[in-house]
Parts: sequence; C-alpha cells; structure tokens
Amino acid sequence: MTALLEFSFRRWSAWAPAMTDAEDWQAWAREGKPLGAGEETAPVKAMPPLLRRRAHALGRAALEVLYAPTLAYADQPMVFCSRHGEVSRSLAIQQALAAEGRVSPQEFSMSVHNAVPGLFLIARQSRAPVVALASENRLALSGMTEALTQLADGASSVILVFCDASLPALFGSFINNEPTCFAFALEMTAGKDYRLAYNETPNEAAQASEASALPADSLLSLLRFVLDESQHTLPLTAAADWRLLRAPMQQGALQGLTPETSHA
Amino acid sequence: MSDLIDEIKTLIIETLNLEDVTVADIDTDAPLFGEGLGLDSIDALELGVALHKRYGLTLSAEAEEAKEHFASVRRLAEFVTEHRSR
Repeated sequence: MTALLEFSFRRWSAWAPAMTDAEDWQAWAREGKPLGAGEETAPVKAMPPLLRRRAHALGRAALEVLYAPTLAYADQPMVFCSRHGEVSRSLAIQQALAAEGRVSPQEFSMSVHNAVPGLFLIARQSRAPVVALASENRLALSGMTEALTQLADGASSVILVFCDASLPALFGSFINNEPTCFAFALEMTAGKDYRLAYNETPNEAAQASEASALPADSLLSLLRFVLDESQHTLPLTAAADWRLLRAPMQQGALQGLTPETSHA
Repeated sequence: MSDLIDEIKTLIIETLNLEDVTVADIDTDAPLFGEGLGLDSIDALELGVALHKRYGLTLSAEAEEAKEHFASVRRLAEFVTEHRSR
C-alpha cells in the first residue's frame, strides 16, 4: 500500500511580491524567513488582456505560476488549493447587495472557488480536469492526497496549485494567515522521492493546538520543505499524525526541481 | 452627443477593467460584442448594471432588443439620450 503514497515532484514555480526568481525562493527556503509584504500584483503578461482583466490579486498570483515557463504546463489535471480563494471579491459582492441591491455579474461569475483555474483553461482552450479545494486546516495534505488519487487513476502527472492572501480587515479576529499574497505550483509525478506517512500515535499535546495552527503558513512550509533538501520530515498537521518524508537521496537527485532544467 | 459618447466609452473602460484601452481606441460605430472590442455576455450584463446605476435606465431582458442597444457606442448613446432618468 505504501507505493500509493509515494511520489516525486518534477517542476515547480512560485510567485509573491518582491520575489523575482528561483534563486530568491531557494534563499527564502534556506533562511527560513517569512515572506516580505508588498502591494505588487503579478503581471500575468502571458494571458490575453480580455481574460486577465477578470482576475484580482490572488488570481493573478495563481495565473502567474501556471503560466511560468518553468512549470511547462501541458494540460495535466489540476488540483487548486486555497483556504479562502478571492474572498475579498465575495465580500464586495455581499456589501453591494446590502447597500444597493444589485451586484456585479462580472464579480459574481468570478467568485466561485474554481474560477481562476477555469479562466486559465479557457485562455488555453484546454479541457483538463480541475479539482478546487478549500479548507482551514490540512490543506497541503488534502491537495497531495487528491493529486495522488489522480495519479493512481492514470494521470502521468498532476499540477498542484497552492495560493492564499490575507483576509480583508473586516474578518477581524479570524485573520490568522500571512499578510502576503502568494502562489506556487508543484508538478507531482509517480516516483519515490517523497512519501506521505501516517503515525498512529500522534502527539496529543500537539493535537490540542491544531485549532490555532497557521494553515497558510503550512502551505508555504510545503514549498520551503521541497526547496530545502536539508530537511527530511515535514509535519502536515499540527498533531504531526500525517507527515511528508523525503527519501534519502543521492547527490543531484533533486536536479529536476531546479527550474532551469529542461525535460525534453 | 459627442460628450455622451466619450462618457459612455469611459464607463465601458472603467466598468469592464479594460486595461490598455483608451477612449480613442473605441470605434464609435463598431460592434461592442463578439467582434470589435471582443466583449462577452458577462460584460453585457455588467454594462447593464452600470447603465442602470449611472443613467437610471433599465435594459429589456429581450435578447434582440438588448442586441440592438449594444450594437455600437453610438446606438447606446442614442438609447441613453432617449430613456435616461438621471
């Protein structure tokens, strides 16, 4: 059964304000610092303007990583994961509904959770399947589990997209994620570089604190783990019952993860 | 009329987030949807809401009639002139 929980990551891409290239991300992964805040919006130059205008900041970040040449997207099935998606858009719709009674059809059409991957696939005229996931906790684990089921179902690779942004100020005490808008994508393939592992005796004290875990941070923790080869275990829940393990590797085995590597 | 035409063009650009499009880029007599600017049905709905807010007019849900009003910026300006309540 463990073979079902084994996989590799082949290509990746990431976007956040003030991060310009793969070296920035590698340095961020090594140094363990939080992402810097910034108001910058992803340019998404690769998308036709008539479609691009429909995406807001978070959507643009997700589109930027999907269009990244380093990801070389080739119509694979996609698993799109975001805790809240473009929640500022839904909030504006509700406020308009309360104040004026009429809402923007354009905003409404883009307010569903799978709207951004939908926009991307329309632009590519692709019919690739998309699963869009949202959860407060265990989102990285849920996304990888979903992608594994798609591999088991015959896909040769699956694109995982993770993105989030801070909640609008109105959400007050519910705001517990990072203040930065970010997105990253990982291409999951069959392989033996990583394994999801379940520990039946989780640390009970840690389990009790799961409610206050920082899920957005756990998404970024996944990227940091994948980029930083010195790490071998990543807890995927605050209780650490599920963990991501990196297989002991020979030097250079991760070469495929450097964006410069081509996969002809 | 030409003031209203430019006003409507500005309304279209702002309402539909048309980056990189200026008032001068929009042909007063070209179709707004499909060809021409390349707008779609969601844009038509969006524009309907914006026209209601700005001019207090309500567009008919009849597709043929709406098509007539949205045929070009000039036609839209004529429709606004005739039916505006604000």
